[in-house]
This record gives sequence, C-alpha cells and structure tokens, in this order.
Amino acid sequence: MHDFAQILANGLMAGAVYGLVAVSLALVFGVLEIPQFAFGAHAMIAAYALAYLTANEFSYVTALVLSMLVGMGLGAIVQYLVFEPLRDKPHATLFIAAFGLLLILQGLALLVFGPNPMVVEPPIAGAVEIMGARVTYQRLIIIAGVFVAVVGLNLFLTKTRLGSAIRAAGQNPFGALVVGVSPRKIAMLTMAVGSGLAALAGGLLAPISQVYPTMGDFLVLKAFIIVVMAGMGSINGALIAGLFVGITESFGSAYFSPHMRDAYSIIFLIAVLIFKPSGVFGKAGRVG
Amino acid sequence: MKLKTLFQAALLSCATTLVAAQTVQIGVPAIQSGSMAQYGANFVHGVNTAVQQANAAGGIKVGGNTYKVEAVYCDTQADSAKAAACGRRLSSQNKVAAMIMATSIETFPIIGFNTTSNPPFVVVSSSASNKLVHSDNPLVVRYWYNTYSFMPGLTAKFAEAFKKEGRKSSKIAFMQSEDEYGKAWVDTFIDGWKKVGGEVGGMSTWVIGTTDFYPQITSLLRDKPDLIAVPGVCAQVAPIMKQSRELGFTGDFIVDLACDPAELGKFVKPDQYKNTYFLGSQWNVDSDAIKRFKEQYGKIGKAEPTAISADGYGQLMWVLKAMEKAGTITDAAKIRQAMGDVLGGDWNLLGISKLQPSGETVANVFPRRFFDAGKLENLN
Repeated sequence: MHDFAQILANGLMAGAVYGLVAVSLALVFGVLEIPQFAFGAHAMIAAYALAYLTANEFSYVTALVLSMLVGMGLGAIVQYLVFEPLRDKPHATLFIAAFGLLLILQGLALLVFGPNPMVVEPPIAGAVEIMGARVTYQRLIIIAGVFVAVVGLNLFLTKTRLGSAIRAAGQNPFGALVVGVSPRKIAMLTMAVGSGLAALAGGLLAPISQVYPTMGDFLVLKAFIIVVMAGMGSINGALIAGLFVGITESFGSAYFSPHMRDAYSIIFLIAVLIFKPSGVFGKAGRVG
Repeated sequence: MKLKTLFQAALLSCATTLVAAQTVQIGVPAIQSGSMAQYGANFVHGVNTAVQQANAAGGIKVGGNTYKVEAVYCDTQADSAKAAACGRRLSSQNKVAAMIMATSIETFPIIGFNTTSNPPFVVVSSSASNKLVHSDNPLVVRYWYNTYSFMPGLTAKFAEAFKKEGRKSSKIAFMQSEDEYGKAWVDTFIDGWKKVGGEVGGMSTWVIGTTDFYPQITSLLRDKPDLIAVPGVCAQVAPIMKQSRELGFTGDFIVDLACDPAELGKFVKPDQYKNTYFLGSQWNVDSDAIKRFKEQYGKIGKAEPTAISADGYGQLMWVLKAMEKAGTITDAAKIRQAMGDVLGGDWNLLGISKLQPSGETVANVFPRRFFDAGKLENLN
C-alpha cells in the first residue's frame, strides 16, 4: 500500500505539471492553430524571473504571481512580433517560427543569466505522509496550483465575455469576426493566457528542479505528446491525458522498468493514433 | 604612385598572412549551453587559463618559430549529433591538428573520423569509457581517470573504509546516467564491489535534462539500500540527492570525481550531503602548481576551479607541450608520438601518467568523505 501510494503521488505530481503545459499548448493550438513549442522556454523565463525575485527578498507567492505576469507579457509580445505577422502563413512556417523562438529565448537566457543553474528554495520545506507516501509540501503546492489554474481557466472561458470570445474565435473565426470579435486582440489575449499558464508551470517546478536555459525542453516535448493524445484543442482532455501520462510513467518505472520511463507515453500515443487519430477527447475545432 | 600603393598593399597582405600563420589553433568542441552548461563552462575556463598562460609567456616555440595559441570553440549542447558536426567543422574549416574534449558525448562521434579527416587530428578526451582506448585509434589519448583501471582499487578502498567505520551493511544502489560515462562507471563499480564481497542493490537510469527523479528513486528505495552511488556532474547529482532525501532516504551517497563538495554546495544544503563519499585524485592534494593554477583561473573563471577546470587546462597544456616536443603544429602523428614524453610537467595537475600505445593512461583515485562543512577526510 505504501509503495502504491508513493508511486501514485509521484505520477500525480509529474502528470499535473505535464498537464498544465499541455493545457497551455492546447488552448493556443485550439484557438490560433499555432504549435507553440516555445512555451517550454516561456516556462523557463518565468522560472528565471521567479528565481531572481525570490533571491531579492520577494515571497514565493508574490514572485510566482509576478513571474506569471512576466509570462503573460512575453506571450503578448511574442504574438505581436512573431505570430501576428505570420498569421496567414502555412503551418510549417508557424512551426519553424515557434522553434526559432525557443532557440532565441534559450540563447538570451544563457547570455543574460549564464550557464550556472539557479536554485529556488521551496516556500515550505519538509514533507507530509499521506497513506504511507512521502509528499513534499512543494509537490502538494504544484498539484493544487495546477488544479486551481485549470478550474480558473474553465471558469474564464465559460463564464466571462472575453472567454466566450476566445471560444468563439476557436470554433468559428469568421463567425466571431462577423459579430465584432477582434481576431488580433483575441489572438494576443489567448497567447498571453497560454503563456501565463506555461509560466505558472515553470514557477511551480523551479523549487524542485533547477533553473537553467533548457529546463523547459522535456516539458514541452511531453506536453506535445499529451496534446496529440488528448486531441488538439481539448483543454480538460489535456489535463486528464497529462495525469494519465504521469501516472503511467510512475507505475511503469516501478513495476516494469525505470529505463523505459519516457517510452510509456509514446506507446500510448501510438495506440491512440492507430485507434482514434483525432485523440481521445478530440473534436474538430473544440476549445474548452 | 599606383604601383607603390599596390606594393604596399601586397606587403601588408603578406604581413597579415604571416601574423595569422603564427597562431596555432586547437579545436574545443565543448558543452556551452543546456543542462550541462556549467560543467562545460568549468572546462572552458580551464582551457582559457592555459591559453592565457601560454600567450603570456610569448606563445609556444615550435621548430624555431613562436606561435600564439588560440582555442576555437564549438557548442555541442551535450548532443552527440551536434558534437559530430562541431568536430567536422573544426577539422575542415580550422584545419586543427588536435581537439580536446571533456565528455563521451563529444568523443565517440569524433573519434569515428579523426584519423581519416584532412588533416588528421589528435583527440585528447576525458571520456571514462573503455571504448575510447579499445577502438584501435592511433591518434586518441585519455586525460582523465580510467574507470576500468582505477575501479578495482577504489572499490577495495571503499570496502576497507566501510570496515573501519564499522558499517554493518553496505548495500549500494545506483543512479546511472544513460550515457557511456554512466554505464562504464556503474558497470566497473558493480564488478569491483562484487569482487570484494559487497552487496549490490537496484539500479535506475536517467537521461540528461531530467528534473523529476521520483519514479527512479522510488524504485531504488524499494530495495532499501544503505548507499546510493550517483556518478555525474554536480548540477545533475544535486536534484537526485535532494529528491532522495525528500523520499526518506537516510543513507549515504557516493559521488564521482566530476563533482566535488564545494561545487555541490551551490545546489544542495550541506546537511543533505553530509557523510557523502566523494572521489579524490592528485587534484585534491595541495601543491604549488595547483595554487598557481587556482590564482590564474580565478581571474578568468571568477570562481573556484573544479577537477574539470584542471582537466581543460591539462588537456590543452599537454597538446602544446607535445607540439613543442614534436617540432610541429600540423603533424598529428608526430604530436601524438611526443605526448608520452611530456606528461611529467607540473602543468599535469590531475597526475595522469604512463601513456600507452592505445592512448590509455593511469592515475590514482581514492575515496574521501565529507563529514561537515569544511571537514573532508581522505580515505587513501
């Protein structure tokens, strides 16, 4: 029982972080059809902001909120400077732009912060035992933070006018334009929200990882697998698939082989692509 | 007038060519970005220290000529495909007669073509893998500690130390990086440890860039090990240690030469790695040469050097001394041939010796134990 609980807790934590980045990708892809590979780098920039702020006497919570704002600002700038001018270009162009952006942001981080990883101390040290599983407070904060963020996103998308406008633009861009929704403003808002979520993932992960220029690479790779598995544009599906991937990796590592940890998600992805190519929760044009 | 100007331009051009020709370039494919960037920076600062030292002395003297030294870098990003591209570029564009490198990531792609390149070039490597010297490559040399040769002695020293400490049980589990270095280290440790009657626990692997090690550590801890051996660089060892403690591991760690206590302290609080066993070498024995190097390095690296810094310094100095001895900066075979004769200098901070035809070298490695801040005991 102790082992089972520990393995489940490990999987939930990893899956929550994967899920949050996948949600940000699903939102941006669902609405804007941009494969935003650079969200891993957005998470990294936010983690650097958080590391800098906490090193300068800001509390973790304040630093986390400010780093999310940095992430949102970065998203808006990136949309304005990079993706807006490429709006009518083919998907391959957007793909290359996102990849180029990832390299630029990583290069900038290396230039500004240097190669030495930065360390962020968790706001609450120590761990708690839950059914025999040791879970650090930071990991509980991560799980809680991710669920609060996804619930908040759902409420924003379904209960507010701006959220409705985003969903409308995702489901029928032309129809949204006809009823007065500005595609440029919606695109910028969507990218900012998505980037803010990626930034939150970076900020939550910083105390258990270290902060360095490529820290977001593994996140974004997993997140893309998850988005495809869930179905492009399915936000809640992305979170569920993220948790599924995290738990699968954890149980697979414990009971089958830890050497294959990264292969489990790929195996399930292949199965999904064979039996349900649109993804487990996928529907064309679906957002939310 | 026009003729005079043309003549002056031609003279200037010749002079420029002559000045350019008076520089010897050494290729350095190194990790300069990514999760191992700090490791690469330590190596690069060591190389730069050697460049500065050589140039401050007026350059190297080869066959009656004096050459300034230039290290030409290429970022491999800890990726073997990029390392191969770096190797080809440094060879074809810069025509270097020698390349120096810190890890197996660069080494194995590059030793696939160093003898057939035009021009061929010597590879000096810190790869700990036995494959390096079993490849029948006449232009390869190792400037590091060969796990296959030092590990039997090292594991025997560990067994002796544990006995003296009165340990009742010493089951060792392993967290192995999925690369040549990690595999060579763990394979040889397990082999040596079994030969001295030691108990071997579980093994988990991880890839560079991993940040969450809970699944692997949970798997290791099911076997209830007394110690966990984590070969790797400090930036990667640190989160493994932290997360092992979070999961309730109260035993001790064994860490490789690539990570030392001072550097580890930048990532982990000392109480989390108290009682850890580090490995030591001549680099950890005080000498005037090491003091001088530390002073010089401090001006460039703006930090305390590590064994990897001394490695970068030593690799470049070795090549330069061999060029001087061989009387050539271009003939890789002659440079390689001269390398065995010049290992005795005080620049050899890691104490590497006895270069063999295969490129193998020998060095003494011993365990050290970090008891508390400032208290580090050699168990030699």
